[in-house]
Amino acid sequence: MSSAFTSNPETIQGETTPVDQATPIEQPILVPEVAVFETERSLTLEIDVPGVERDQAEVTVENQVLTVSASQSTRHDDYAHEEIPSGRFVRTFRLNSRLDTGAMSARLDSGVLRIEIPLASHHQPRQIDISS
Amino acid sequence: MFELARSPQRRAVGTFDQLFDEFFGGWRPTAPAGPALNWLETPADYRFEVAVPGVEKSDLSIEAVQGRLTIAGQRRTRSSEQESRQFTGERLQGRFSRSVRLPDNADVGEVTAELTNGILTVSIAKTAEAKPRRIEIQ
Repeated sequence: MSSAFTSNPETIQGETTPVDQATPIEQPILVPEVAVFETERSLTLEIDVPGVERDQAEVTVENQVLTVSASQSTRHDDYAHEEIPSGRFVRTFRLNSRLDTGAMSARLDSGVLRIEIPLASHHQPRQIDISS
Repeated sequence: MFELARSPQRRAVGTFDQLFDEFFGGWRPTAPAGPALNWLETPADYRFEVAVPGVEKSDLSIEAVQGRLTIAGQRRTRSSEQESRQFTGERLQGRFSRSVRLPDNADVGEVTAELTNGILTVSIAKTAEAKPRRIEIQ
């Protein structure tokens, strides 16, 4: 815990080489917290992404693999105390083949990304009319 | 908790506590549990940010009394969720509370709060004496 607040003067004052200068800025990858809900007709994922705006979030699906990524806008860079994780959220889910990814929907509200994926219609319960 | 944090044993533990004291003259959150909290100081105010994704404005309460700020609330479970099968529950749920000791120059009569994208920001102005003043040269 203390390491994040400890600076090493030797490193700061040390010689820099062109390689050091080209080092990309480290942006930690965060794993967002998720809750998964299942009903007879759909699967819902709720992913907590506090501080993320709609145009900073991305949901992609390919070969039944769902990837959610989001970046937070920088609110401040001079916090005296910082617990809220900052960086880029990324989380990947493998989806069951019964889920109809063509009909999925995503919505971002109050820092929660809600993704609803219906079961393919032939996997949903249905009532059969009895003919006389 | 505050007294414990200032004890000599705790001080010897490391730079984290020392830096806290340097930044904020020895004030610190009183409870480590609860939603994540950031804070910073500007020339005019103190700002606190609390991560409360999925929490409605009406389910949050902010109380600022002399020397203490308390943010409490609850994250409700939708009725549709209660009926469904839940696989994982990693996230913040139910009731929560977070309390912070305020510095003496925080003016609890001047508090504003804003909830945006699941981040609650509470700003508490500094008392007039604590704000920087421009002095005219005669």
